[in-house]
Order: sequence, then C-alpha cells, then structure tokens
Amino acid sequence: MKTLKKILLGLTIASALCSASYAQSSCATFLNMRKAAAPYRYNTASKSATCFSGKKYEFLLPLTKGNEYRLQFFASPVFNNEVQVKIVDMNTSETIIDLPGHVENGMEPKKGNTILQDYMDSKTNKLVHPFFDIVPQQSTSLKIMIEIKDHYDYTEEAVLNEWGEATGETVKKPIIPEGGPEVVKGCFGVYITDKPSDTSSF
Amino acid sequence: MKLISKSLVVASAATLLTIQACNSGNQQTGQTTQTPTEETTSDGFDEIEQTTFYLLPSPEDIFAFSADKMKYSSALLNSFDKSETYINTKMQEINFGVYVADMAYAAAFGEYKDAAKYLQTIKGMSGKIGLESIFTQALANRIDQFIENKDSLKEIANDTYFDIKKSLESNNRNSTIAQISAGGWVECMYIITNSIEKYAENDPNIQHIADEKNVFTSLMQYLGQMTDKPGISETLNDLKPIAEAYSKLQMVDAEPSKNTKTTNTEGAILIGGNKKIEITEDNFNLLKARIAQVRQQLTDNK
Repeated sequence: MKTLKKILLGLTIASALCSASYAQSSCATFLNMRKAAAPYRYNTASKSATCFSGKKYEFLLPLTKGNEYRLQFFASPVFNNEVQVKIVDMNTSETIIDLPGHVENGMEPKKGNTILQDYMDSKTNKLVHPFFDIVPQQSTSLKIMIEIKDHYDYTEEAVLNEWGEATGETVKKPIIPEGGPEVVKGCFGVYITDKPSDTSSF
Repeated sequence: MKLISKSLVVASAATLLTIQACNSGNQQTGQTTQTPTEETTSDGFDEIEQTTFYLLPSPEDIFAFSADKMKYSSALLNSFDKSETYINTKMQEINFGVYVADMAYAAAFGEYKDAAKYLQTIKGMSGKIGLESIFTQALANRIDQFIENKDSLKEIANDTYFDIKKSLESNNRNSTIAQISAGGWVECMYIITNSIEKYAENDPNIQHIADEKNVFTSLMQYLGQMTDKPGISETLNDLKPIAEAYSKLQMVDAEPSKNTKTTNTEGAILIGGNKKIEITEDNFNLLKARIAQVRQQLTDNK
C-alpha cells in the first residue's frame, strides 16, 4: 500500500514537472494573454524570448514619429523580478529608463520606480502593472537592455542591533551555493502597444 | 485493491500522455524545414545563441502611417500568378513576405477582393514553407463574416501576420522570419515610394521613407546574425543597393521643439526631439529607384 502510494506520488510529481517544463519552453506565446488597453492597439513588434539568469539581452525597437508607444515588461516568476532594464534613445544616446524589476526591501512599489512589480494606482485604487508611454518627437530607435540577475534562493535572517541582539525584524539574504549561483531559464517579454500621437498633424 | 489498481492505471496513463505532449509540444504539424538556432549545453539547458532581438514592424504597422495619405493602386501589387514560379526556399519565403505586404496594403484600403485574393495566395504558399496550420477554417469563416468591414479586415490581416510570426518563433525559425520580413519591407517601401507623385520637402510620407532607415538598419543587422543559414547571405547582397542609398541620408538637427519639457501633460516621455534623418530630392529619387530595382529582382525570380 505504502509502495503504491509512493509510486502514485512520484508519477504525479513527474507529470507536474513536465507540464511546467513545457509551459516554460513556450516563450513565443508568453505574451498571449495580454490585451491592449484602448485606445492603444497591439504592436506586432512585441516579443518574448527565452532568457537565462546571469545573462544580458538587448531588444532594438524602431519608433516612428506620429505614434505614441506604451511599453510593458513581463518576466517568468522563476526570475523573482531580479531584473534591471535600461532603455536608451539611440538618436541622442540618452537614457530614458533605468529601473529594477522590484523595489528594495521596505520600499513601496509605485509608478516610475519599478519595471515589473505591480503597484497600487492612487487614482483608480487598483493594482497596475508598470507601463511606460513614449512619444518620439522624431523617429528613432530604442535600445532596451535587459539584465537578468543571478538566481538565488533566499533565507530570512534576523536583524541584529549594535549589541548583537535580535530586533525582531528579518531581512532576506541570498544563499550562495558553493559552485556559484544556479542558472535558471524563463521567459522575458516586451509588450508593445501604440496609438496615433495626439501631437501629430499633417 | 481493485480501487488502488484503477487509480494507478489512470495516473500512469495521464502521466504518459502528459510526457508525450511535452515531447511533441514544440513540433509543428505539416512539412517543415526546421532550422533551430538552439544548441544544448552540457548541463542540459537549451541555450539560444542570439542575445540581441530586433523588433520589426509588420506591413500593417508600416502602412498604418501612410494609408490615409495615399491612393490605392492594385497595379503596384505583385501578381499572384507568379507564386507558382517561386521554387527555392529563399524565393518562397521572401515572396511570402511580399504577398503578406500586398494583403496588408489591400486590407488597409478596405479592398476586400484584392485582400482575399492575396490571402488565398499566401495560403497556397504556406504549405511550401510549413505554415499551413495557420490557415484554419476558423480564419476562413472570420474573413467571410467581415467582408465589408474595413477595420475588421485590417485586424484579420494583422492577426494573420501575428499568428505567422508566433508559429515561426515557437519553432525557432528565425531565418524564415527574417526572409519574410525582408520581402515584406521591400514590398511596403516599393508601394509607398511609388504612391508618391512628386518630392516635397515637408511631405510626411517622404520623411517616413527617411525614417524607415531605422527599420532597414535593424533588418540588415537581423539578417547579419544568420549568415550561416541558407539564403540569408544572398538576401543581404540583394538588399545592398538600398543600404547604399540609405547611407547617403544624414542625421541633421531638427527644428527646435517649442516644447522643452521631457514629459507631456499625460506623463508620456518625449524623446528624440533634436535630430532627424534628412532626405533630399536626390536621396528620395535614388532610394525609389533602388527599391524598385531590388523589388524586381526579388519578385521576378531571376
């Protein structure tokens, strides 16, 4: 009886792992569930790609004057939002955005301080996934640089005061394995929508 | 005991089916010539070689800018009769892109009959490049249902392009995407440049042609990543005359914007304000001629 239960459990786990693996391998459809919010419409330049922790990626996006673009970013949960995204206007070499995937411990996510963490919109009182509206006054290209940070498991460590006594607070600390951080694979997506710019006139 | 046996059989069957689905999940139905860009590392992960991704607009995105400033002309379209003459994979993929652009152009102007003809042409060619699974009965029903609605026709054209791209990306057929993009871009620019009767300095369509230099540069770099794939080096060579014409266009200071703010009233970030790509009359005429030359070479199967 015990042996049979173990076999059943093992088969169920294998099945679940297989499903997860399949889900992860389908990064091309990672953005499928996203819907453009009117009046924006889906831009087919949107892309999701298979990415690895500890690696850097670039997405090059031409923008046309006369359109307004909304950019959103999505990452597989396996990355724990441990991501940095930097966007540069290739016409001017100006950095437009340079944000982490999540805010530091103790800080509250809000509009403009995170690229991946949902935040509470004070006007609508709803959780919003970060978005960035960009209006090119002249046609240009954006270089979107993604750094997927090394993957770590975390442990909660007690915060000690100057006398070495526990304060009651804890902080997350990465567990660094002997052979270096584990490489994990997941999806990263750049979701682009656009609409005619309000300032365009011909 | 009987209940335990039944449970074991059901769990085993479910697991075997799931594992089978996992193994076949990434295979495309129909004939394919899969050219994966993945290689397996020693730890068992599939590692993608490419770390720069070029995000290219669809033909519908390109035409969306110009459609309300142009007149429709079916004479500009590549004859669908030629589709049977494209024998090798490179010509099939390039001209698949050409016909996708033709379909998008017709859809942008609400020309149902032409759009439907080109959709049939694309469907006919899809089998040759392993994309026939896109053209389902559901898509055919959708087209029949929205015959008279221009906006829906545009949406169908865009959704079809999206499905094509998604299917190819799922199967890591990046070289096919690149060839289709090249054919589609050349056809879009051929149509747009031949829809402009006369050069005018502040014509937004002319400036759009100049601005497409950014897209073309991305396209060439995208192709340049895959020169080891069949047909890609040839395509890069084919596009060289256009690259030479675009190289003559210079970045100049744009008229200073009266708006000195970095965000607009709705919080959108304003960028690229002080530089633009200049296009003179000579530049335009040279580009128009080179694009026509390349388009003829790609579509005449010579």
